Amino acid sequence: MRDYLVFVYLLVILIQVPFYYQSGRDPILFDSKSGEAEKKLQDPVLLEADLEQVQDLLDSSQEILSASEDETSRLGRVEMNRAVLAWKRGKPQQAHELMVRSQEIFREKHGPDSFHVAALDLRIGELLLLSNRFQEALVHFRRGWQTVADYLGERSPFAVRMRFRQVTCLVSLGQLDEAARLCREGATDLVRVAYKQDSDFLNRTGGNLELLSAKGLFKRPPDGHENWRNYLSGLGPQPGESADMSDE
Amino acid sequence: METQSKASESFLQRMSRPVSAPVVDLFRILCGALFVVYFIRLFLEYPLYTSESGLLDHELHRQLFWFTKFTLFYPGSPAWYKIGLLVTGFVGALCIVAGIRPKLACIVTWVVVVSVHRWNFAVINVDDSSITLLLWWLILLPIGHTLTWRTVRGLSDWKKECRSVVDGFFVRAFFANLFIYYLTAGLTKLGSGLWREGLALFVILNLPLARTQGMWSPEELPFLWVGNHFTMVAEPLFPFMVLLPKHHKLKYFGGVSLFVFHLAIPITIGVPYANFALILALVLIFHEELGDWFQGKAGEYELRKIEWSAPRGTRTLAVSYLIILFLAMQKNVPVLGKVWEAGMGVLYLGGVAQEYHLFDWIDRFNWSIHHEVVVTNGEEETEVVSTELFPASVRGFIVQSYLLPMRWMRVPRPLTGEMRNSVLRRSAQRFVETHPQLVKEGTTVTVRSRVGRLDRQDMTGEQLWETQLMTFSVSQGQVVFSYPRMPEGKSS
Repeated sequence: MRDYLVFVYLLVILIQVPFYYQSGRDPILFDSKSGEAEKKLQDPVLLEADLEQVQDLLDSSQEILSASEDETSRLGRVEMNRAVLAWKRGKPQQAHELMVRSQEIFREKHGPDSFHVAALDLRIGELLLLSNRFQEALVHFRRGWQTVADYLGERSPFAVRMRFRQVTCLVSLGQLDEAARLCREGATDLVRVAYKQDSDFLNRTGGNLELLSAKGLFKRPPDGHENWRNYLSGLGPQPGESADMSDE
Repeated sequence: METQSKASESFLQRMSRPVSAPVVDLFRILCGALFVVYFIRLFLEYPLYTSESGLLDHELHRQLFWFTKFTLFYPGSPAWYKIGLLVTGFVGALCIVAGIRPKLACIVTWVVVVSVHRWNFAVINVDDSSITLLLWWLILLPIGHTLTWRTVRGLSDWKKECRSVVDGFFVRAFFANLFIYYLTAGLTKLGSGLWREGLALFVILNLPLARTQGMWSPEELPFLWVGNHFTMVAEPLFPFMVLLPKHHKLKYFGGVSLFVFHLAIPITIGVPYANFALILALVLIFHEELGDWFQGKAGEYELRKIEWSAPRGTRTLAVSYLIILFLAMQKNVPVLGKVWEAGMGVLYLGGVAQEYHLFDWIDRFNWSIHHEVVVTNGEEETEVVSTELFPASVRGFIVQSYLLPMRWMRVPRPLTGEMRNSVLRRSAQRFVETHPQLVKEGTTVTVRSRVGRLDRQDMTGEQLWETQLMTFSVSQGQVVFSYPRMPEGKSS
């Protein structure tokens, strides 16, 4: 009998394989396709062929969820990625609708006070801001920021980024005192996480700080630096490095 | 071809040089004793983790960690069944100590342990995988020939036993496992900024998972800096002890260092089973010295070689396991990094999943969390110690990790939300059930937390931030959350 132990052991391992295949096929396929789509979407330069590929990956992800009758919040992730894809295709309205849909899914699955719902508020705010819909954007930023800051910390790159997105809204709406207050609260953190931000964000934020500074509402950049825009750009990702705009 | 065959034969012969049989059995007895204690802990922790009404939502976990479904436990299984399985494992551990059918006992105990680990996967850590490791090697090692219950009862001549030797192949294969263990644990720390800067030990000792949380101030940093760097130097060097000749001074120095090192960790941090498992490995590392001692005790008896041959295929199995284990530890290593996941998958299928990246994750998992639990009954407010909500243990910290932006076990995104809610629901429900005198109809429980990361910018936790973790009340015997509002359709 003892000489068959290894055989029995290997048999037990082999018996498990079909079981694992059946249990793991859908989650693994979903994670791999979804992950690949997300990775591609982070690429700053996407050709039409890449966008098509992302579309296919997201379609497959959704099919997997439908086939497996998935009842988790995974679909929220797919819708969020679809929104990013729509944005990259220059369709802000569609992107907005998809983000709202994604947020609805997270609200239903995680509850209205959850981190993902709040993070999507900030993402929607960012989308509206980039479409120059400042007042609407501000509502979303105000609604979601505290929950995100409570979870990730005020000093986390995502929370800092969103604080200064809010500043952009406030400056655009002429609410300079509140904008200056937010800047004062987050200036040190902005400098600390600048290396993780993209140049567009740093330029725009630098411009806002410059304006507040010129009006005497905010301090000048550190000695030796001509203006905030140049200072922040110098702190941004160096050539070869990429910005990290993830929320978790 | 012939040269190759000669080389492998010579390798096999060198690996199989006899070792003292009572030393191997001493290792068996000590490991068995550790398993007994481990099972006692599993019994004590049963209401918290293994039971259906504990802190873990096993049904959800089987969705999140789909690969944990293959286990002897199943959702809805009655308590007597689960406890029965634990009792089976416990009896197996006792049989290992006593040397009653020790191989069979090891196999049975191993199956139970692997099942427990899969069932409680979300809170499994190196303590648990070290138990699997010891059981796995005991299945392969030539145990049970000496120092059994028969010896105690006088049915076997202990002097003869003390002068017995047995095939040493698996003892040396175990040493290879120790090399993989220590080299992975030691070298991967070089990839951590906090370890390189000498701050890791300070941070670890001040985290909620440590027994000494809050006892270390920056004044102690120079002392802990030395400890930090001692760990980085000593860990990769420990396994080289097995290459040193008998009675070598460096070997003794290494043995004492290993003992002190692995004793200090359970005292200050916790994780006792992993550390005692490695202390027990000293028995095999010093097998020659201990073998001499046993033989000296026996006196003028002739050395007896026990006729034991490894079951067919087990040597190949052990070597294959070591190769796969080596590959599974290559996470983040260029080129080899691509195979770690496959290697880990095979180990998992075989019930011997191991993870030796010990505390090299400190730069990511350096979160600290403190709770303030206030129970309000009308006008009356009572503050309750937070350990009533989450136990003060490594597992207790792991449970709380799912409330934070860190994932002890990689919960797939975005299911971290489901996981967080389940921990909140379960802890609230458990709190209500375990405090019937305090929490009554209409009682409100508010939990506020101070959270944040301990790192170079904030060594002492001054920049932790306050946040509301949850507020719930009891209505018609049910837990009702007012914050965070829970999704509808699933009760606690």
